Amino acid sequence: MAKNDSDLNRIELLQGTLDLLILQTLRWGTQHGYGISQAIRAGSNEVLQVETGSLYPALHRLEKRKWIKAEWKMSANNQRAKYYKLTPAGRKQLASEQTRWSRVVEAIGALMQPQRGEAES
Amino acid sequence: MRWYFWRKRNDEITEEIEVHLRMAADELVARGQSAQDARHAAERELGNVMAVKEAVRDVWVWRALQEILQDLRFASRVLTKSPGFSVAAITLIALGIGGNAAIYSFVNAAMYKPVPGVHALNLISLGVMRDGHQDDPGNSYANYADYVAQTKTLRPMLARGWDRFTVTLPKASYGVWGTLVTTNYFETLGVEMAKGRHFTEAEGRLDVSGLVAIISHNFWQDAFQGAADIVGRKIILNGHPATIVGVAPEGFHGPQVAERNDIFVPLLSYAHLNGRDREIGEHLLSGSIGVELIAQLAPEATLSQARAEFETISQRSRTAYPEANKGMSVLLVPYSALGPGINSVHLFLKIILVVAILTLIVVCANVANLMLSRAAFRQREIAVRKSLGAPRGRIFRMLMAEGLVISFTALIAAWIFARWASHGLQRLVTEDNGRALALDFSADWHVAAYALALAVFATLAFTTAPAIRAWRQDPLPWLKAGELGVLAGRSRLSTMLVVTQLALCVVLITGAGLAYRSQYLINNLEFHYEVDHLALLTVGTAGSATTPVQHAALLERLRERLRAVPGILAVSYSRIPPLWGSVKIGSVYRLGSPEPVRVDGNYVGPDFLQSLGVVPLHGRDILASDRAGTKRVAVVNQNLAQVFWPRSSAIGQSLRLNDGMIEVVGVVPNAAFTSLQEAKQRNVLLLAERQSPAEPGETTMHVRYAGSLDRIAPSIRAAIRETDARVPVFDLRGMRALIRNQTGPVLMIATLLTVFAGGALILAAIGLYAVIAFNMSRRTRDFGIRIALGASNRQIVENVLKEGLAVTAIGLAAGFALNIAGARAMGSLLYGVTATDAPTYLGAFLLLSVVSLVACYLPARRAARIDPMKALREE
Repeated sequence: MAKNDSDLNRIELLQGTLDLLILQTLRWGTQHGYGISQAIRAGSNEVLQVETGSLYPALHRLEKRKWIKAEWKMSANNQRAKYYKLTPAGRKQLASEQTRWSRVVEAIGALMQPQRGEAES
Repeated sequence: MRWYFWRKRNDEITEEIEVHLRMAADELVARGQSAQDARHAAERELGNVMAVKEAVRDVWVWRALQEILQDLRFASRVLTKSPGFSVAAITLIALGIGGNAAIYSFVNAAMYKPVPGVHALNLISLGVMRDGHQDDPGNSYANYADYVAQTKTLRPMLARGWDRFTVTLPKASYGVWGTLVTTNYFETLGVEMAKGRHFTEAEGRLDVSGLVAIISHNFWQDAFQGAADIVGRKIILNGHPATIVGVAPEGFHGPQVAERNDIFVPLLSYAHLNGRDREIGEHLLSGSIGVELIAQLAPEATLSQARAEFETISQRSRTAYPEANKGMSVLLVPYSALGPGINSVHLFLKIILVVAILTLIVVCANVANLMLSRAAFRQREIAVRKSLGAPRGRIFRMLMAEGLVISFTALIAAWIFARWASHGLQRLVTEDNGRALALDFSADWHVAAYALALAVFATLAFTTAPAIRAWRQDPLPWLKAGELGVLAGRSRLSTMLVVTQLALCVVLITGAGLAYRSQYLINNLEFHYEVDHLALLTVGTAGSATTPVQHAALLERLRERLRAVPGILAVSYSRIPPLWGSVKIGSVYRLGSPEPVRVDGNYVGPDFLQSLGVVPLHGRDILASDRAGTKRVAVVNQNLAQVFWPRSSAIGQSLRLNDGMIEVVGVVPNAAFTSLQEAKQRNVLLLAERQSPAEPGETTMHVRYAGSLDRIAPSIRAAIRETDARVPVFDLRGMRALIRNQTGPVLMIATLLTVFAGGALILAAIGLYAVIAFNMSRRTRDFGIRIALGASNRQIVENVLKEGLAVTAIGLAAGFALNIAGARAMGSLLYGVTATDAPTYLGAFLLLSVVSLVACYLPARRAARIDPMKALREE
């Protein structure tokens, strides 16, 4: 089966950014794994592709670090599913990750477009 | 517990992934795909499901595993950096666990392994309870038949009874022990024949025409030189022709350790041949053939079901035969090579197991102490770790990891040591005839599991104290103060450990002391007879004599014939062998007194005192002239003479027995005639066999000889065979061997206890030394100041000694208190000493005092030599 356009346009996630995106997604409330992946895809206008194979290990990693908390609940269409929720520690982590992320973006931006970076600073 | 969490987590991961797939598929279906396509697409998108699950699982496993590995690696590094401590700790634990494993492999072999040859599983021994107490396991054959008819849970069930057999071959007669068995005997026990076959059911019927027999491997080798055509050979068994149909496997002499059966015959047909048919149906034990029962649990039956069933069966049999089975019930216990129920062997095994565990506790206390003193020096390290943010749990784990590394290194060393030690043990334990005990001592998984459990226990025992300290420790003071100032508090715990060690030492040493003292007392017992150059052998007259008169005549012929053998100095006989107890005589009365006196009696042949080597105090020996028709005579011991005639000579006085008057012709010293125990307290009465002969049966010949037993033994056997070839000879051995047989267990306990007590004593001394030395080093400054202020050497030494001796005193007091409880258990195994033997206690007290004095004196002397200038400058 040939890959369609949207597939080609999707971007694989950078190492470490997945954690940030998960935390960011959970900011609005509890969500299950599938929901998180859909939210990221939709939120990035179908550009960011979340590999299921890395989503779940990431979720469990975050759960183990106690940044998110898991709970089995019934979903909207009456299925039992594992819902994740941000913990206070996770909220703190998200804040610091956000700062770090904006720094990285800034730095990369400066590198990619030096003249504009110089002009701005 | 932990495993449960793992399972739960795995299930959750599987479900979570499944939910994801379903949701993805549902959405695709909503977009118009078919359910099947949607599912495929969702799976494709997910990739390799197994790999994903694995990756998720790894998140959880990896970290924990990594941390544990890190802890273990760190622990090994810490331990290799202080090799002295590590080697000491590992050696101590290895010896502790190894010694225990060796002892356990022995206990395991004796208590839980079947004898060689028995392969059946789930065997149950049927014991007998009477009025709620465990009784002799003998039951009646009639009850056995009832049980077999009624039980559904125990099948097959075998019955067996014992008898002596005279096996007559063309060239000679052999006296052997044999078993009368039900024909399912070998099948029930799962014994494979070395040659030939099992009994058939038909051979076990009452009216079977010919007797058949199965012989032991040993007997096959000894009597038939291992002849290949053994099956089908004819022999004469107690006068009845019989055919050999099989040979039991090597080492099998019956299902229990102590059995020495060389021949097995079907019970019913043998009883029939001997005219004992009537006894088969008799429920009363005294009138029936006594049997012991072993059965196998039926498939899918449990022991508790069987017990419940036998409650009912016992009840029924009590009602049906109220006289015979009064108050009787059946006790079902798993088969053990030691036989059903509690006996002295069980007690003995328990004692050594407890001793071994006590020693391990001492070892652990010592290692805990070593760890504690190290932990004291590591308190700063731990304080630094804590202040840098290491969680308490992590530090706890770090210390536990060190313990684990020590224990498990020790476990490997212990295993090697145990294998070596259990060989040594096996040599220590021999049967009465010098044969090694037929038990499999090799360490199996039971032993391995036991050793592993001990290692875990040891780890916990000696790491808990330092770990708890680390847990509670407040980091601040250790960061601020210098090391020497803040070690207080540590000494109380280690002092307690030393007290424990000393107390256990007292128990072990007094135990060893008691065992040795009984050994000593036995060795130095005034036998009043010559133990050496005395041979004992038992002969059976049942094959050639039928009346008491013939029996007595045959004994005299044997005695006369033996006396003519060159090298034999004197010959006599007695109805019961020396030290084997006494004949039931009933009561003895003084003339004119109705008051009965209890006596140990025996019927003996002419020259009895001469052959035993006892010199009468007054009067004479039993003589050949004391025969039927002459005045009945007796020899009494000093005790009995004292009881009846305290003020006059006993010679010529008369005694009344239930069956007539007897004249006392001799008085002998209070020698050990009937038993080693309480030899000096017994009243002994020796009567002339020829004046009241017994029914034909067994009699023990006493032969006093010159030279060696090995040289004279063939002549003895030959002389008996020449007199009457139908007379079998049992158990030809020296008096010394007979005594050893009785005292063997005491010697073994003494040896084992000594090994353990010695080890524990050394450990306790080291422990005490360590505590005192450590406390002293803490007080270096204190002593320096005292010396500077003019304290004399003596004052300093006294000061340190006082501290050490206080600890010793508490330990000893606790130990002697423990002893009063513990030593009672040993009581039944001791000879001539009570469990509260004063000399032993005094000896133990002195030994421990001296050892602890030395252990305290060394650091005390060091304290006295402190250079005050140096001590004050320190810190």
